[in-house]
Amino acid sequence: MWKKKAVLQAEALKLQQEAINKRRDLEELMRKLNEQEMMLKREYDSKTENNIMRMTEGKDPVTYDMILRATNFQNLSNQEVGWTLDIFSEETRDWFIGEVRKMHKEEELLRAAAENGNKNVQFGTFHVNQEEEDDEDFVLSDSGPVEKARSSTRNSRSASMDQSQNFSIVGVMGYYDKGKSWLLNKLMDTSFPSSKRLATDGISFCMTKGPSSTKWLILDTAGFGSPVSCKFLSNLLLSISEFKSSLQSFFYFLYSSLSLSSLSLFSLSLSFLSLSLSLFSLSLFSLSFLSLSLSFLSLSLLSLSLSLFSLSLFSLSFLSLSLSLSLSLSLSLFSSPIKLVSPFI
Amino acid sequence: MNSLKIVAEFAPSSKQHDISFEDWRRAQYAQSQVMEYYLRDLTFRMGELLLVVVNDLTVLDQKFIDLLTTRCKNYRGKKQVVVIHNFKEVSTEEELEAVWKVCYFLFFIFNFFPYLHFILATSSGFFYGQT
Repeated sequence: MWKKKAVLQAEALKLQQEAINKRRDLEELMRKLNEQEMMLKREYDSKTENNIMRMTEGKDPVTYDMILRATNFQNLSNQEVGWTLDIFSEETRDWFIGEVRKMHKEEELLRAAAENGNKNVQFGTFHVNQEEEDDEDFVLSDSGPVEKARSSTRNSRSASMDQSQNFSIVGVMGYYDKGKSWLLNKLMDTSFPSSKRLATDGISFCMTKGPSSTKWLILDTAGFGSPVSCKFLSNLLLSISEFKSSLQSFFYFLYSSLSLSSLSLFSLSLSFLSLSLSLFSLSLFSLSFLSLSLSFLSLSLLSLSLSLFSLSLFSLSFLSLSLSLSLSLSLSLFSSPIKLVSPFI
Repeated sequence: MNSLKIVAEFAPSSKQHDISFEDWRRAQYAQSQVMEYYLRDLTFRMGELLLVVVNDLTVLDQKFIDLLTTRCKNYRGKKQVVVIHNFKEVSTEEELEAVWKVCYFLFFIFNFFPYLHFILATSSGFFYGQT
């Protein structure tokens, strides 16, 4: 009985050990699987990101027909901080000029109405509604004589627009970094520049063809709540970065001009050796000459021979020095660009 | 000590002003916000079909969509609004469903905004719409 019990206990222990080992193996397998899954996920993400980047950055960056940049509300005439309008296509330009002419006509009508009737009319002014101000937003007021006159002209204008305009306008709105341009690229088959590093400027116009030959004028806007770009600070940062890059290029040039191939290095080392040899020979020659001048008779012959030897050595070393230096210089100047990674980049 | 002698970008004339750095910063914020509102208004007036792109529906997005509804009601012309949920950081369908349940279920029960909602999960590449 005792023996059987001992045997059974030993078997149970063995089984327990096996179970523990198997569990450990399973845990390891699970860990490896998780790691592999994570790796695959990361790879997939990077590949898709790369594809997106390739899709957007490989193409021509000027894909919009017209870009309206507006950073300053008051100082309009300033070219750096005021309003700018870049037009790249003729079709959009014609449409825009037509719209501006219509607006001019409208304004003239309004002015005439104001001169005849109410004199307290201001053009192009914005009114902040108190209710909207609490919501951190503001809209144009929809009341008053100007707005009434504007609505009447708008109705007439919309009727004329339906006849002449053969495309519909799509406006894209949303907060900063939500993927507006990316989405447009997906939906409309366009190639707007979109990545984490790029941001859309102001209102960017683009005319595209949709399904069944319908035309869309897309207004891709800069996201709301985009970071405030400070001209003064950005200029400072830019100048710093430019200075840094110029320094980098200068150091790189120095490094590349000094960094030599193995042959030139060998010649340079040879020149150093010859230089040291020549110096040594010079010192020897001076010593021997000194001894000769002091005319120690016993040493005169030896000193003469030594001086002669040192002179010959000096001439040889000087020759080798000049040769090696010229070789190294020619190698460093006329050799093909050396493939060395600069430490500054 | 605190005052800076700089050319104020927001000033109509390019004179040098003695202003504090805080004032200047505040002016910068105000300037950018005003320009943002103006561009927003311009796009609203010009666009016939308006696409509103959101990731997770934050309070700011909800406020903006509410504002857009009121503006569309007051506007005399015809406007169409489509809200697109572009989930940038959602990669699986389960995650999407979880996010949807948590964020939007109550929102849709109360019927906050009666627009067409289009969900687009980016990296996995599946789409489905909800009205």
